[in-house]
Amino acid sequence: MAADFFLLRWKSEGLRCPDHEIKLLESGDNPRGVTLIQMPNGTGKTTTLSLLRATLSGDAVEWTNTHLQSFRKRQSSATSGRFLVEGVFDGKRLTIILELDFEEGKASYSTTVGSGKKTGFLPPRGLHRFLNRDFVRLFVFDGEEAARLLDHKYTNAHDAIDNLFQLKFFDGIEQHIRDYWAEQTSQATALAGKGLTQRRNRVDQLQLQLKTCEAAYALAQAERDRAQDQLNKKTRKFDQQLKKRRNYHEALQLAETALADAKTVVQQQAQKLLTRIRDPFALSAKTAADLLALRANLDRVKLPESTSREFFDELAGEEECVCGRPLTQECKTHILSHASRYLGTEDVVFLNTMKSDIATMMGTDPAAHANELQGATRQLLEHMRDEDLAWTNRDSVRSKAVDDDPALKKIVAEIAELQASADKSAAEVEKYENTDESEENICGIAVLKKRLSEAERKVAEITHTLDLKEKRDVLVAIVQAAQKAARTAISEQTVNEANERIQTLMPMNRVRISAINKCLVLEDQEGGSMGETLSVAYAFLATFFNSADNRFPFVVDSPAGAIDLEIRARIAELVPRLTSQFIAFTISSERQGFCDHFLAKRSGTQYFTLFRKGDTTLERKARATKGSAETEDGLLVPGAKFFREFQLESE
Amino acid sequence: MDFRIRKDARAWFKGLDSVIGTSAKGFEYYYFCLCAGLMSGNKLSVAASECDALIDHYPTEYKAKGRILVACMISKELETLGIDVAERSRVHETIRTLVDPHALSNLSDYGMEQMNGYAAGGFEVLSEGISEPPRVLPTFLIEYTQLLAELEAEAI
Amino acid sequence: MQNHIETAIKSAVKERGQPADLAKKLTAWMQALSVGNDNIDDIQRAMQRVSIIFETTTTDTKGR
Repeated sequence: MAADFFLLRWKSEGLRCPDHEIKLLESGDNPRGVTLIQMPNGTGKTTTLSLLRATLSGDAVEWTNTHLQSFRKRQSSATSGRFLVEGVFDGKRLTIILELDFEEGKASYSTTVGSGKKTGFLPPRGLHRFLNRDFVRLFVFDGEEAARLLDHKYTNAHDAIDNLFQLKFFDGIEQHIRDYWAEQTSQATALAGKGLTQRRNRVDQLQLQLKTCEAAYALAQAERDRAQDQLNKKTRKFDQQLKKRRNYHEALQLAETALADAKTVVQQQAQKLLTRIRDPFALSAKTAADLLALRANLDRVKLPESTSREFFDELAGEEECVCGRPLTQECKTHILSHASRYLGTEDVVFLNTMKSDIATMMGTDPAAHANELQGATRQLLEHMRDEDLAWTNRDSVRSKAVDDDPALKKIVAEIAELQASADKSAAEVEKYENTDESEENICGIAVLKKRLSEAERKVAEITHTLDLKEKRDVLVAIVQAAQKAARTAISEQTVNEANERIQTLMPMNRVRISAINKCLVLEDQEGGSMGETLSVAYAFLATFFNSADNRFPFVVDSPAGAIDLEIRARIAELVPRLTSQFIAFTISSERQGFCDHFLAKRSGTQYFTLFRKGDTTLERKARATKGSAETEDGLLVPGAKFFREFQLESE
Repeated sequence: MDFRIRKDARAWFKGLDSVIGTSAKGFEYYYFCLCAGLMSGNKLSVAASECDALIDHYPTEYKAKGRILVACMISKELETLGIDVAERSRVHETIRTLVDPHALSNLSDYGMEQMNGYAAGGFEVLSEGISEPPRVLPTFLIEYTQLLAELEAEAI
Repeated sequence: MQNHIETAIKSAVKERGQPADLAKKLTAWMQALSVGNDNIDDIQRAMQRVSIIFETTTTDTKGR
């Protein structure tokens, strides 16, 4: 279901930030493409954004009193504050008002869609799935978090997809399925009360143990991935640094080529040996000799017979024997009872084919194949020695380079530390992957699941609910599989769309998204600059809220925040093109590189400067500017000129 | 009836999962165990719950060797039972009980049980002879062929 | 994107040899949740749906 939403204005009264109203219109009801709002430190930029998020998500009703009080205007007797957001959704006006009652310590909402005002946070049906805390954070965005989309320690890009595309509902459905089963089994009569209690206790204990281990496993995996990632990066850095050392570069290249060749030869020879091992008669001369002897012996005792069991079965059905004598019933019975001593036709065929296989595959020399295998083994050993030598040679070139260079030595020491850390993390993960079924294994998740399933089966058995349990298991499996498959498909589609956007908007950008796991996984990230990488993070976000399906505004706090000047220009160039309504909050120190881009190049941008009263010179200048608005504690000044020249002494 | 590999054997070989390229990795590991069992004559009975079922036929890489494997087992069973080749009817009876030409494995249920028994016993021999679970294919293959050479020497 | 969810449910149901009706019921629930016609936290409603879903699910065990 598509959603087309943009902001018209917001207004703050009686809250910590200066009272103000920002109108985001170009003309009529059309939103301005780009709006830059300059708010010096201490003006309440963070407060304004928090309130904007809270108003759009309905989140404030869950705030603690302490948190709520933090939005109270300082040195004011006002007992309440109000934040209003007005927007347009699918052509209809939508107004959401957040009221904070500081005396009662409560937050409340009212929502007006079209002309009808209602109490509560009640966005229209098509919009409500987007106006929640998790998704609103993506389009009312903290710019410093852009880089965190690329770091799995800080974010979970999967969650963004799960939230936006309803995949979280699968978790809810699964839980309801489990709850239904639990309720049904609790109602069932037990054969023996004590037995049921014991069995239930075991289920509860195992469920808790499994939950704990699954959580610990997830953490251990994340840590292992992080440690391995760091190790890989450091190793790559070492390789790059080493290659720069001209003295060793050529020798190293030769050594690495020789090593790669040696490895390939070993792998090829190993495959050859494996193919030979698959011939049982090659494994030892004795085995081959025994097979040849079996064949010869079977021939000697005339097995299989030339006559099969079927011959005797058919003979017993005749009136006369092959010698001409009449066959009495007694004879027939005797023939039939002894026919089983003979092999059936298919047995005969099989044995003949088996003997033929022995002859064809083995030849006559029992030792030949075993000798070949031994030869192949010796060759493999030789090649492995050559590989070892190639390793030693390569390592010695590297060691020489390292010994001569303290910087490289340092990196080697760091690599050793990281390797130890990666090994430790890997061991921790393996603990949870242990499939040993002995009682000592209390962490192996697969084993715990098996024990839990068995314990549940015992509960189900005693309460005659085995059928229900099976249904529950099937349904849970279906829900989990469907969630995983849907997430993969949606992630792939999102990645493709984001990459298409990057290709269109930034064709020179080398970096692309390769997958979405806990964070964005980038192709060729090492080859990309910080600017390219951040651009990709923004392009990913924009895929959610500016696509064929959805259009949302993009409100960003400090898009240029902690970024180099050169990158600021790139972000300034890119981000407004990602959405139809871009609103950025900045401070004066972020003007350079970011805002300057708009001031110099982009017409049609709307500029506001909002600051607290206190600097009389600035206040005078503000009042003299056409269109400025003054409230009890603040001044809002429109226009590029004031924006450009604004400088608070304390900044 | 299926070829069955001991669960602990399957776990022991898991370090090679990423380097074994056969269509049925499990059967490859089964084969390593089976040959060690046949060569040493070590046959074990293991409960079905301790094993993983594999397949009931020979995978691509082993299709042509299926009858040879059956022959190996017939040969070993005759030797183990002390049946002389001249005892035609006993040889005949042994083959009859082990073989089922209608089965994809060419083994009767009883024959498959014996085959699985040799694989189970073979894993004991393998894991005693090669102390560390394998992680690198070339190293494992060298150790495996060396172990088989030792078993042959013991058998002679 | 809703298609991905529907396809995934159908596929998971089919893989487990369950009737197509089951996929319909699960998809209908997801659809209702996504457009806001149902609330995942409404336990009474959820139990009603789950009860129907359980009835639609087939097992090998009979009469247990």
